[in-house]
This record gives sequence, C-alpha cells and structure tokens, in this order.
Amino acid sequence: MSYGWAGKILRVDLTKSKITRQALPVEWRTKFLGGSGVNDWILWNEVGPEVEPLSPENRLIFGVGPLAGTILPLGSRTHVTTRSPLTGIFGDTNAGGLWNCMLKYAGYDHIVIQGRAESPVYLLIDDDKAVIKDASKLWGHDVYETDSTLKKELGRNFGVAAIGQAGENMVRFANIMFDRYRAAAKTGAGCVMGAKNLKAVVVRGSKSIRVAKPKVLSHIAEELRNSLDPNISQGIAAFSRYGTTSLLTLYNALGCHSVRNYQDVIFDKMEDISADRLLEEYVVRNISCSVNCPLNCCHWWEIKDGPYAGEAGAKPEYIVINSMGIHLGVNNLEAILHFQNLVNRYGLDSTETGTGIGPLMELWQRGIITENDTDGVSYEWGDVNVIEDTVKKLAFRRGIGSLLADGTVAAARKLARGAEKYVCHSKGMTEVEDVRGFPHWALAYSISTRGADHLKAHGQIDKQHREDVSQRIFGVPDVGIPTSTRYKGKGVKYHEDLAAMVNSLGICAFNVLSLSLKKNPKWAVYMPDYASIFSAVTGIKMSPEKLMKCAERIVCLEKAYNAQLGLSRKDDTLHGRWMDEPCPSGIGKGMRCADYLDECLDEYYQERGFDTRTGLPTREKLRELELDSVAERLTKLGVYT
Amino acid sequence: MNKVLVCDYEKCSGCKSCEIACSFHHFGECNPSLARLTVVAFNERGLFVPEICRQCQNPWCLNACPVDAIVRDAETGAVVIIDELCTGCRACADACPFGMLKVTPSGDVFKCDLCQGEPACVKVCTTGALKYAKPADIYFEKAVISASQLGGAI
Repeated sequence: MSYGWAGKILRVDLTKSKITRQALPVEWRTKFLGGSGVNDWILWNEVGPEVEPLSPENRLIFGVGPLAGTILPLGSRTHVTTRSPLTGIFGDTNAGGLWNCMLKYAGYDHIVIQGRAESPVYLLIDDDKAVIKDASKLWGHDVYETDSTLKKELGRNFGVAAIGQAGENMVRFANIMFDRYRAAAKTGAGCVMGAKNLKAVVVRGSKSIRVAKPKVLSHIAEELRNSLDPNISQGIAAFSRYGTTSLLTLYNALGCHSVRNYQDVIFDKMEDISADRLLEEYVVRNISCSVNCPLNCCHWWEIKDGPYAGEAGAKPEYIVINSMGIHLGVNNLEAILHFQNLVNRYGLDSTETGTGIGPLMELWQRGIITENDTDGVSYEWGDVNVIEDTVKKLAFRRGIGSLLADGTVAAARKLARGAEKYVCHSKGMTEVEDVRGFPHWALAYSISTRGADHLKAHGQIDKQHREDVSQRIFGVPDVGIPTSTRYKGKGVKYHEDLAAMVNSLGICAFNVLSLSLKKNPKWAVYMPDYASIFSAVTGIKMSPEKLMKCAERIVCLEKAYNAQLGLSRKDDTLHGRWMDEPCPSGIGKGMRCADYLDECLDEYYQERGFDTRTGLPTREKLRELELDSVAERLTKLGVYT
Repeated sequence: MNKVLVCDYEKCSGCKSCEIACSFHHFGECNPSLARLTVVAFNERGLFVPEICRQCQNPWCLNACPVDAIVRDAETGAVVIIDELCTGCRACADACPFGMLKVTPSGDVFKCDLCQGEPACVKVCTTGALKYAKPADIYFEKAVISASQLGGAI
C-alpha cells in the first residue's frame, strides 16, 4: 500500500512507441521526496553531458508530489524537468492545473518521456490505459484549440498539457500549458516536447490517494485551512483578492519593476494598469489554479468593449504585466490582457518574449538598429501593434521572429553592435524584476540553477520589510531589510531549500509563503513544520532535520548537474546593466550588483558548505548528503582538479 | 423545512476541495470520482458548476427503486440509501437527471446523505459557493441583495 504517492512511474519511449511502468523506488521517496526532487534524480541518471537538449535522448520528466491531491489546502502543482534548450543547462518549470491531480488519480507520480515520434502524436492516459495516439489533426493548432478539441472528444474531466505552435516550431523558450491557462513557462520545456513530436499529454484518473494517518491529517488540514481562510485572515484576504498583481503597487514603491528594458525601476504610468483597475473593470471572479487551494488568487477577466471586446481569460500574473507591459512601456491594460492570451495560445514564455522585444525597442530608441534590421517596421516603446506582430512572427520563426526564437541572449549576440549590454540575464535566462537595489534577489538570480529566476529562491521577507519574520527564522533582522547586503546568503540558502521542498512535495509556493508571512503564526511557518505533515500523509517517519537535508540534497544535485557541464562560480553572476549601471530610482537608488555580489556569494557558499573558490558543492558535502555516486562522477569528470 | 444544500456557482472557484473532502469523509480516501458532488469545469469560460444532490421533494431515485431501498431521513430530510436493502441495480442512477447517484468500482451505489446534518463539503468551501441553510433564510438573503441593488438604482 502506497500512502501519499501513487507509487508508479510511467515511461514512454516515443522512438520505439513503447510504454512501460516502473515502481517508484522507496529509496527515492525518502531521499528526494517526489516532484522536482525525483525529477532531478532521473535527469541526473539519464541525461548526461553528452545528451544535447534537442536530441531524442533528452528526457522530458513530469512529476507530482506526495502531498498533491490530498485534503491539504496547499494547492497541487506539477513540476517539469529537462535539459534546457534555452540555456543548455539544467532546466525545470512548475505549473498548476487539474492535470497533476488527474495523473495521481490515474496511478502515477511521474512520466518520463524519451525518444522522438516519427510524426506528431499525443499521449493518452486513462487510469491503467496509456496509449500513443496520432496528433496530425492537432498539429498546427494553438493551445486553446488543442485543449478544446481534446476535451470535447474525450471528456471535460481530462487534464490536458499541450504545446502551441511555438513548441512545434521549437522556439527555445516555448512552454507547456496545463489545462489551457497554467503555464510551465520556463527553460523551454515546450521546445523539448516539440522536438519529440509530442503535442499533448492527456490524463484522467479515478483511483484514490490514500493517506497514512487520516485522523492526524484531518486535524492538520483543518488548522491549515483556518490559517489560509480569506474569510478569517485579513492578510490572506488581500492576497486572495489581488494575487501576484498586488506586487504592482509594492514594486513601484520600492523600485524593482523593469521599465522600458530596465531603464527605470518605477513605472510612471502605473495608474493605467493598476491592480485595482484590473479588478474593478475586468475581473469577473477569482478562480483557483489547482486542486485544493483556498486562496483562489487567479483572476478570470472579460473585456466588454473596445478593440479587444469579447476576449476573456485567466490570470494575469504580475510577471506578465511586467514583461508584456511595463518592460515594453505599454500602459494599455486591455492590450496586456490580450498579450497574455496571445502568448498562452502560441505557448510562449511571456518573460523571454518580453525581454526579447525590450532590447529591440531600446536599440531602436538609441538608433543602433533601423528598419534594415526589423523587417521594415519601427520599434517605438508601447507600440502594441508591433508587439503583437513580433509575437506572431516569433511563434512561427518568421522574419525578426527567427532572430528572437533562440532566446534573448542569442538574439543580442547575433545582432552584435553592443546589443548584449542591453540584455540582463544569468546563465542565458532573462528575468524582468529589477534586482539592483535588492541583494537577496541579485544573489538568488545569480546562483539559480536554471538561470536568472525569481522563483528558485523565492522569498518576500525583504520586500515586505518583515524584520520580525527574519528574526524568527534566522535570529537576525537583516534578511528583512531589503537593501542590506548582510546575511543575504543565509536568506537565499533557506529560500532555495524551501522552494526545492515545496516543488518536491507538489504544493504551491504561494500557500507556503502566505503562511510564513502571517503576523501571528500558529502552524507551518518554518520548513521543519512540514516534516509532521509529510509523515501524516506518507507514513514515513521524517524528522525536521531529515526533511531539511532532503531539500538541501535536491538543490545540491542541481548544482552538481550544472557542474558536470562545466559551470562554476564564474557562472553564478549577472549580466547587463544590473551589474554596472547604478539603479536609477527607488529605495535602492545608486546601487549596482557589481559592488556587492561577490561578498554575498562568499557568504552564500559558506552557508552551503561549498568551496568558495569554485562555488561548487565539495565531495565531502555531497557524501554528507548521501550523494556518493554524484561525488564520484564529478571526480571522474575532473570537476575537482 | 430542514436545511438544504445549495450552490451559488457564480462564486465557485473550481478548487474541488469539496469533492476531496466528501470522498475523504465517507471513504477515508482522496478521490473526486468517489465524491457525492461533481464540480463541472467550463474552464474556457472560467466557470465551474458544482452539481449537488437536491434531495428532491419528489425524488426520481426514490421513486425508481424497485426494492424500496431509498428513504427520506426524518431528521435531516436527506434522501438516503439503505445499503442492506440495495441490490445495486442502478435504477436510481439511471433515473436521476442530475447524475448524483454514483457507483464505486466494486458496484455499490452511493449518494449524498448530507453527512447527518454537517456536510463536509460546506466546511471546506471558502468562497461561499456551497451553503447549508434553511431555504427561507437563503432566499430571504437573496431578496435582500436584490432589493439593495434595486434600492441603489432608485
């Protein structure tokens, strides 16, 4: 009897049209938990440095965690892991949707896809039945059309994970959309799916998830639900109402948007696109992105009149309003909502899409590029028509779209003429929240195993000025002081481990963070609290120390994955104006990452017990984490010489 | 009249907490397909409609049962199946126009019994889409809201 986990891995070889099932080894459960942790272990074992991201031998690994789909009110999320075609290094991404619980109810915790189908196919899973089906009629259609067609044909209770035309055309930052609106956006997982000729994975299940200690879990779930009930807690009510769009006002006050390609950090036209305007004029109701979430932070919006009349959709998250709005100088909220649907339909990561167009507009502004470079069109800030046109070209790799389709860094390199200066990134991936005045974020982006990213060590303690929470967790107030460089290594290590734990347990970061930021916390504030939850679900004894070690192990495995590809401290850095141009305004005015990043990195590596010279986990550290075989392989590859 | 279970689908967020709470309460397992209510997702319209047993005044299921295994519970007003009498013929499930009689993988028919007056689904609904109250109170509340809007308009 398996508690928490469904207990099986589904393996699909698209080259051989072969489907097999494998039991989820018990050792993996206790060492890597599930979700992203087990995904990482499979990637490490099966995708070595010789496997190119777009070769059939690369794996596309889907994983859900042991806590997803249970009675816990913590959301239920899917993790997708692969070697990234955008950055060439470790890649992973996370999404909501009905799909992930359906996978568990069908009896699987993970799907590992390898090979390449001869012609377009989709994978159909209906409890014990798993078959590879012809997808030639779906190929060429966007995500929404694909979702509708499959649900109409198979049933409304199927979960659908699909790629759009961007994935088919192997745009290197194509995403996978879950149940139409939830994006596994980062690192080009949809591109890998397209390279495998796999249009969709469709799943339905009718089996039970059992839990080891129903009475204990019932009590825990009730406590958590009381803490997360928007009707009870004011703080939760605000997050429930605004979702991540609450960051629009906060980030304007602090100065950490990226305005017109990072030329400013405070948006002068914020009133036009404010969260209150979004809620009052367009949002019809709040909906949940995944099963068993009481926060319902996702918005369902409808546009009644004007050029976009009749359009409706889910979200938008803060990141989309930044990348497809603020970043491009767009103050037309309806256009931003429309862009959200556009990138969803084509299956494009909105961040890399926006950060690809941003530099074009800045190079145009500076007269560095002209009509000769841009298919004869002008790239003025805020021009919604040129943005729409570019997104379409991008999805189909036409004209200037083919320049952007290999990623923003690659596009800048091709453009030459000093264009790279205008791209902010780490390890080849871009981000749109400005980090210059916020050492926690600068450090987090630098050390992230998938490239610049706000979620791999996501914390809000500093931006919410929560010195009290910092004191509670770290015994010092500094992690809660946004512009301070002190103890940021401590804070980043903690939040990086926390994110690894959350993504491996299969729950939502927002529920976990909301709990940790409560003024009068009673329950599940610290990472260790999740040990008893894990035990009640799975029946496996888990001490807080052991759980923290699991999280640390997962993070270190990702570091080791990149180390075998030759990455080290030299890559844990930032590029573009974040490094050497002083922050133009906000509370971090005048700050440049180059002035403090090294000092933060030193502290971070020390906190991790890494070699500060190489920035890598030492052999001793890996052995301490029971990753002896990992240490051995890195030694054999000459990483330590 | 007894309290009834009602649903305001405009408020439903589609989180399915109710389905999982239901299956957990009755079967001790987490499984929407073992829930006595069904949230139907129209996610292309951002709309989620929970279908619940209405405990009909003149129940299709009760009328269809050939062995009188379905009766009304005197205390809660719920229309319940007497498991010992049920033959598993599914005539009730065929008769219910709302699809609210369901069958376990082993063939046992089950339906909503209002959890002896404390519905597990309502406890976990944070949006207020599901309510368990006296009809008079529910409809008076609706009248108040409607009247307020009308009053505001005047």
